[in-house]
Amino acid sequence: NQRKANATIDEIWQDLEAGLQHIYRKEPMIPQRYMQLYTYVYDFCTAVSTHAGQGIPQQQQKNLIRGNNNNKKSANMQNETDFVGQELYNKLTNFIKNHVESILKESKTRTGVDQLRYFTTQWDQFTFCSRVVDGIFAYLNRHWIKRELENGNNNIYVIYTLALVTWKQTLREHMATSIVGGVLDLIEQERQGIAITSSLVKGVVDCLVELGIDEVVDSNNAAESTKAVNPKLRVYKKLFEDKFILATEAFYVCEAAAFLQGNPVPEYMKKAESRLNEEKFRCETYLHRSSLQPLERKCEEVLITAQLELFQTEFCVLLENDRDEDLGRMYSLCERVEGGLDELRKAMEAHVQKQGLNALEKVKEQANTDPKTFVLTLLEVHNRYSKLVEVHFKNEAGFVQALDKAATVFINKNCITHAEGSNAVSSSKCPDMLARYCDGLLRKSAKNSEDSEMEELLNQVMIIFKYLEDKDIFQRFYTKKFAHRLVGSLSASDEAEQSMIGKLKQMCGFEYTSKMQRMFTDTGLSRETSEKFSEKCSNSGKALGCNFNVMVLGANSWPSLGSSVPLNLPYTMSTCVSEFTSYYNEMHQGRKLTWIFSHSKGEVVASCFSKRYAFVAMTPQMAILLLFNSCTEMDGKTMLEGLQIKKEHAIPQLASLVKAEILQVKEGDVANLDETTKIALNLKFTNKKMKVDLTKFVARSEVKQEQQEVHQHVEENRKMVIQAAIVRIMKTRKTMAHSLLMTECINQLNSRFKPKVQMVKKCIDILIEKEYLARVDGQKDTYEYLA
Amino acid sequence: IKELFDKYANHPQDNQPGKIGPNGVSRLLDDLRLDAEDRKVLILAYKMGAQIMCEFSWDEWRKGMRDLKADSVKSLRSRLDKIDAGPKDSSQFKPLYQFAFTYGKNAGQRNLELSTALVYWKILFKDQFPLLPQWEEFMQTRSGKAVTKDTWNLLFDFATSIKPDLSDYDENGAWPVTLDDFVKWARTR
Repeated sequence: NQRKANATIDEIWQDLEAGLQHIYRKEPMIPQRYMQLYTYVYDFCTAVSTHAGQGIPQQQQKNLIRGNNNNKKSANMQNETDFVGQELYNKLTNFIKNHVESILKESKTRTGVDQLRYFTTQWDQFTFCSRVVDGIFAYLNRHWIKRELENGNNNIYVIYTLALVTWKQTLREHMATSIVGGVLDLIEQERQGIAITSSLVKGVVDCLVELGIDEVVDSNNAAESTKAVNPKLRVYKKLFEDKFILATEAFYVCEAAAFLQGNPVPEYMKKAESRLNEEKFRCETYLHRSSLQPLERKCEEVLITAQLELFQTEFCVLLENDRDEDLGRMYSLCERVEGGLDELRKAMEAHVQKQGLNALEKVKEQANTDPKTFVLTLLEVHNRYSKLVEVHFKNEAGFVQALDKAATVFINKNCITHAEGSNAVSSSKCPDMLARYCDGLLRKSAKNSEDSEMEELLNQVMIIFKYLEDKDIFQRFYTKKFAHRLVGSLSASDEAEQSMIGKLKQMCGFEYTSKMQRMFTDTGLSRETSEKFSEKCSNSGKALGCNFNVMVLGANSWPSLGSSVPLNLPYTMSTCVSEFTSYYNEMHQGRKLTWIFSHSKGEVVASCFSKRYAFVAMTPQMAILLLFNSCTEMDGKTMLEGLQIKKEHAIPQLASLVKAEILQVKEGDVANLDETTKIALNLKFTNKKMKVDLTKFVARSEVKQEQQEVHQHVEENRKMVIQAAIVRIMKTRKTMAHSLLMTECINQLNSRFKPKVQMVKKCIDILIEKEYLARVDGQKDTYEYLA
Repeated sequence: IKELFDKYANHPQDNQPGKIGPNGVSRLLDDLRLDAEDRKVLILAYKMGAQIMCEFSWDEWRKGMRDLKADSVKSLRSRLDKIDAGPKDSSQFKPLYQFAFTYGKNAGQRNLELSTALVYWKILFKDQFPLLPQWEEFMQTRSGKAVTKDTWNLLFDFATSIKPDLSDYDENGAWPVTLDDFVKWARTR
């Protein structure tokens, strides 16, 4: 050791170089030889200090490490060590450079796959060997190089890095052209379906990534480097990725154009979809993962964004033809690019709207009168597209919204709701239809649905209801029908009724259904009251002469059931009425009972015909029939006197009995109903059934009038509701700008009806007039609330 | 001032002791050489803070004359001329306009009779509201209703801020419905 300590660089280099060559040939090396090489470096670096002959080497060495510059002597020594370190470093740099240059030379003689194979093999060897060399020069790394780095010398690298940097400097040009070119060729081959050795691509990619080893964040370019994720990838990006992306673009631009010439769009979409998957897989297999995003962006740009217009045109065609799967595919493609779905949403909205309107147009005749056809047609269209949106468009919010918009239009404004021959939309048609449909479902009939089925049907009703703009009108119609069902005990089941009310409540709030709920309660209470009443009658020994049930309905919660028509009841019935009136007054003081006979009915048994018949009849019908207990024929005048009823009320009732063929007009006309009119019992009356329902013969003339009434009522009611809403809002806000107030007000009311802007403005005018509101001084667009 | 007041007050045909009544006012206007439909008359009433049409009480008179810095018929006329000829910016004109509503309406009523309103608009908006003829026509087609205070006040903003061709009118703005209707009506013509 002592001998070698004084050796000069030239003396040791010869053997060291031989050792290095040995290593780079990648021949096996025995540990002793490795140690020897290591020692050369160590000795050479430490020789300086012994050479200077100062103190104990160990200690000085420590000084060196500390880089103690205060001491003049050690400063001297340091200069020398600097020199020695530099010398060795230069020698090694040259050696590596020569070695790499020989590789370059050799590589240049090869082409294609052969070249790539040579390159990647050499690279693998080179990195491996450089690591070994790095080990041998460990001492230099730890001391001289470390200190240089600490002093901020950017041109000195740790040995392994030095090797890589040298490789990069020497081969950069070659890699940028031939090697990357070769790789791109390979990738293109693979894209064309030719199998390639992907490990070659992977090798080059790894090499380029590793060559980023010395790249640091460039402080001058800080802004850029925060954008470009990792400075270590700069070499990879610059030499490979940029070109790769360009090549990708060129390839797919060509392919897309060529493919679309010979194939329809749906085929193209399949192709694009598989291409996108392929590229993703490619990136995952042998490219750097940082390339995934730029690669996908570029593919999407070329394969999707560039074809958006085409897609949009095709989208309509696919919709027309119900090609759901292709639609789904288009969705998932377009979803990937920004703004890709905008036009599709619009197209779907228009399409659904059209489909809805067309579907109704087709069944116009029937749907105009038949609520079932109307509602089911709407539902069919809605369900068709809501399924499409759900299954193939993944319930994407924008599409859901588009569907909602379209449904709102075709449900509220269609050929049925348009009044015959005019453009005005009758806002009551749709709510009326839906209410009648509900009535059909909930009314007792032979074909009532099972409970679970009923529940489902009601849920479907709610789908339409959700889109209904005039929910307050529906409320009126529904309540009216509901009242009829309750009064006539026509409900299929209480549970179903309750369930429907629950659903309405859930969607529109407590207030919306509070009256219905009370109607329901009234019905229940009435049953109890009736029972208690008959109990009391039998207890007190009063015979009523018939079964008697009564419904006591709160005038506030129930819709008008028609005015009370005075009628002279037959004795048995009038007893019941008067008995009950006094009973009820005893129970509840201060309540006024109004009897509405036109809605009550009963059963009478007739034994005057060939068979014994039971008639179910409305109370006025019964009153007329019972008149014939004392005679078989009477004139109109006598009849009216007996009934004490106004002529116009009597005529429809009488007509119904004539129609049912129980009575006959012997002389004159029912419409006159005076002494010239002779009515007789039709003793030849026969019917197959023993029990005959006469109630259905009473003509319902009220319908038209009813609608008119509802309409006017709704208008008035809305005005009040809007004003109340405005006052409520202003009460909390005190002052508010006009447009905000409008929006807020319309929002609040939307669940009940769609207020017209003009109407809201009118209400604001009214409130200003009534001095609930005033315009803020100097700001005519702002209102303030006047307490 | 008092002298001047006395000159017109207690006119024999007026049954309002201690006040200048309608006949007194008409004499005053004669002396001022003002036509009854001159804007200056309204300015005078406004400056006096007159409560009732064609009437000035002593308090109103004293306050008004002091404000106008006038002590004779002549100086009163020149002051009125000056004010009327002065700038028509809304800060001065608007209070006068709004005053006219209260001044013109019958006591105890909320709204201004349409006939009165039409006269006042003519006086107030003379040369300043190009759409006035259309507005008058429109208001007459509407089954002769009285004019609400809100409509009255907002018409001023309408007249001063909206272009005569109505191109910058916003139906969704905070205009009263009457003005919306007017614009709809005017645009179709």
